[in-house]
Amino acid sequence: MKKIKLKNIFIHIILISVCILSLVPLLWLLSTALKGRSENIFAYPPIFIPRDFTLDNFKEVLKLVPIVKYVINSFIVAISTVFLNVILSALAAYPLARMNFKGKKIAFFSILATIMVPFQTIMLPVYIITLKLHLCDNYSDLMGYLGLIMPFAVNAFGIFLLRQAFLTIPKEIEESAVIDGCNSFQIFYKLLLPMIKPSLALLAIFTFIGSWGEFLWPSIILTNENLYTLPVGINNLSSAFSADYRLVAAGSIVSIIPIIIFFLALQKYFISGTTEGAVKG
Amino acid sequence: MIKKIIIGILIIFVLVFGFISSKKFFKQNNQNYKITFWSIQLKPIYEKQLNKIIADFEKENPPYKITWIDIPIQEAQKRTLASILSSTPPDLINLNPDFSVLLAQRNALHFFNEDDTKQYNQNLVNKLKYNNKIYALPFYATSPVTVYNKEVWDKCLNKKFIKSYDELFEISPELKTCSNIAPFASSINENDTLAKILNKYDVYSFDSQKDKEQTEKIFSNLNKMYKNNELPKDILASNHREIIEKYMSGQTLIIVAGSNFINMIKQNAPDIYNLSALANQLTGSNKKYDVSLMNLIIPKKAKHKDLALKFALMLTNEENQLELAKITNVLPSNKYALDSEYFKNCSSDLYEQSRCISAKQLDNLIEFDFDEKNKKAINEAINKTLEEILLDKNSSNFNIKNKVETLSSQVKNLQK
Amino acid sequence: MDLKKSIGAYLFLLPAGIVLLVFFFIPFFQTIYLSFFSYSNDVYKPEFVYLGNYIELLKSPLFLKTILNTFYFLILCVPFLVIFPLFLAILINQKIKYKNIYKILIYIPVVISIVVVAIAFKWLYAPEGLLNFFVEKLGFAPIGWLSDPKVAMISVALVTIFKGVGYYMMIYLSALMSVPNELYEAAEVDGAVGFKKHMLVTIPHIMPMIALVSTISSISALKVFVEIYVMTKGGPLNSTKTIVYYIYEKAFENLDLGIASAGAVILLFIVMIFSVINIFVFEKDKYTL
Repeated sequence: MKKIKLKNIFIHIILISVCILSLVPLLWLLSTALKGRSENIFAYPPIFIPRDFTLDNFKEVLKLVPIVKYVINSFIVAISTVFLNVILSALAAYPLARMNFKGKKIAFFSILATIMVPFQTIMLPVYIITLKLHLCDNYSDLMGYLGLIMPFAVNAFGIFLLRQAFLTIPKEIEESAVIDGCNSFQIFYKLLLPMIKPSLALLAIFTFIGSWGEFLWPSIILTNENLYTLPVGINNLSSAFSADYRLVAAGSIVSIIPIIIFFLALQKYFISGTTEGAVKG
Repeated sequence: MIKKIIIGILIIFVLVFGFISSKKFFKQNNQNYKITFWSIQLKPIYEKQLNKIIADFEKENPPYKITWIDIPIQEAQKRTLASILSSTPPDLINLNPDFSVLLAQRNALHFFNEDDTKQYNQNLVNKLKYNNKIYALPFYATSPVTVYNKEVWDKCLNKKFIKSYDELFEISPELKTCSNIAPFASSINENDTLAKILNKYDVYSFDSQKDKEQTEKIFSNLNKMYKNNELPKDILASNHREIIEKYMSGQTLIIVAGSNFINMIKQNAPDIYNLSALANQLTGSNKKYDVSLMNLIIPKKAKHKDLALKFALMLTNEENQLELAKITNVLPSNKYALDSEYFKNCSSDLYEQSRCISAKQLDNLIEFDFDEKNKKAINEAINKTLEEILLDKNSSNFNIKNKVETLSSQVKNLQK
Repeated sequence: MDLKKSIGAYLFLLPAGIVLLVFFFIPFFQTIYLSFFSYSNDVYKPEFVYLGNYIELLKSPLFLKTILNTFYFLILCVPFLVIFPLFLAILINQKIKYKNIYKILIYIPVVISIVVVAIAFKWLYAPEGLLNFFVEKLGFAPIGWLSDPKVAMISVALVTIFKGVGYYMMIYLSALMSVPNELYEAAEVDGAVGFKKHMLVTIPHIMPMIALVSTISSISALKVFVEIYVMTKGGPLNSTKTIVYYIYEKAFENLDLGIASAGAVILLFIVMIFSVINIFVFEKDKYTL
């Protein structure tokens, strides 16, 4: 009993030190956002605890930019992107992990190739294609949202992740289902998909964060301020002429909160949804 | 299975058909009367005024409407390039001269007549020429001023503040010993910062022996400062904003910064701001000053070039430029606005002082430059040479001489 | 492998395939097309130069240096990113308190924008910053974290590691949840405890996920860009200039679109070879492709 306790203390020490390291930038952000007018936020060495504590910066941010509108836009884009990614990736991952078909290797490596090329290098053609497809807010808000969503509607990382998740499931489970007379879609939908819930939740979180933080693409493609997503919107807190870093920091804090909420909401899928039940059954 | 295939094919059909026909469904309204203007992060401070200018313009020019899009500074070049390559670029774009000249060199811009530039300060217009053709209209300017920590300066040196880089090289060791802070910081590895310092010593190429010797002298002085920690070691990786941050954090005592950033120091580091004082931009042997510009370009493929020009001229007329200057503390490019009393009467407040100092500097600008062609490559070659010298642990005068010699032949190739 | 079965598989792949076709393959083929042209005189009338851009790149010492730099970066961060997050995931997966809090806190760096992370790291790395404070306390000369060409890449790799640990840890955690408890019980019956238990049960079971992390982290290391952009801009003396940063500069700073496109094609080639090797090493016996 004692041995276990000692071991656990070690684990806690390691984890706590990693956590502290992880928190440094966030703490700086938070302390900057809470500092008052009279404080030098670039003081050196850095001062973490605000002397002139205030929430004014947050109020100011809410006053300066229509943050609720940006949050709604970001939600529309992020949730749709997550939805499409989870569905399309799961559909594509299943045959790559579980079926034999002609051109499987080519299909797999072609899909993988799409994450090997950095977005910056193909951005110009993607921009031109997106305009040609009229996926741009010049035409209508719906097309504007689609222009933000579609280029990221599926990501080879997601396909790869789910393929590997399918691979961890023992073959026997599927074989018994085939004997029961299930067709491949039923096996996929009713049997295998529930078994990789943690990976689906993971993909959802990753996609959500990626979409939420995307700055380059929306700032290239958007022309209508009503469709601005959060990162592009809060960028307006500073101008080319000057910047108040307290406001920028407060804006960043506001933009992190929804991610934490989304993370907590999907938390439960990381706890349940293991294969235990299936193995027993 | 067959049912599924049919459904699949149907879905593809709908998608493809949807894409093709979307043109009809989502036709842009009044495409022909739409003028698009892209600016670089003028929001939030200039938003209200610009909207007013747009409203005035639309009133004068029915049925045309202006679509104004404010673009983040980090992505301005990418977005401009993407739009230039597409078939529908905006009609008027706010851009920096370095990138504009590249576009001009690649035949992507509309050129302006001398007549179009009557209302501008001609010193500024002269900086926007490629092969003697005007590729952009000046939008606004900053002529940086020297900001220094007066308290430390007075405590350590107790004399009048310096005017030139030569004086800086002289007093730097003493200031460092006394304060134990790196006296000077500058983003010497960023764009044309270093090239502009050379220009101040009348170096515009590296052809003559005189040019090379002058360059060697400057490089070896900077090298001495760097090795003695009189320049912060990380300036090679810093941009001008990070240099200002360094000043705000009290890790350096003297910087050269645009007057619009004075307010940033006030907002973010009030204590340092209260200890600061201003002086003219540090000069070289020709006692002249440099200027940074933002300009307006019209892409070659723009649909409404005439109206874009008209709008640009309105944006930079006397009244609107004065307003812009009042809000942001940058300098107008409009010569009538520059003549205003506003730039002659300033209180002792640093923010106001910077305005009068920098406006006065415009009368005495460096006229020449390294070649406008391959300007970026030339700047880069100059920066790399100094970088090598600074990072070489034992760079002797002989080494520096050799490196300047190499630089000379590189630049000669680029200027051809 | 009858046709009917193949068609079923294709149907599953179809929706993702269409999106990838439109937003990746077509743009990428255009990039290949552009790579045979020179844009140095006129963006609207590019000049056909055959393989000129490729030859120019492969002859350029700077480009070859960026390839070496990129691989150096990969060696610096990938092994750590494959092993350390697994270690953390196993720790968190123990029966301990405050699991969820740890999970979120370690994941925080992933959600914070790289710009903010860069500001924090630039402090740590400043000439008189926190890190040098400790270095000098230990009696060493201060280190030029971002100004010494020998050290700069390591400093940048630390930023990547900082942002990556939580990310890969989550991937491992989701995989660890699928390890059936029975396997551990069986191993314990056989007398395996602690570290040995994990080597015998955990690692083999989540091998596909280790392969994934290894492949994905290698790919992202080979196309590293943002960290370089915010930390060093490729300096000092090009010591942190990577392939993508080089391509970026060519395209968006110098407007040499042809060269940039050729660089992108060469990059894909390099990453592809590397990934094929990576996957075959992991999957040669156990998992058929």
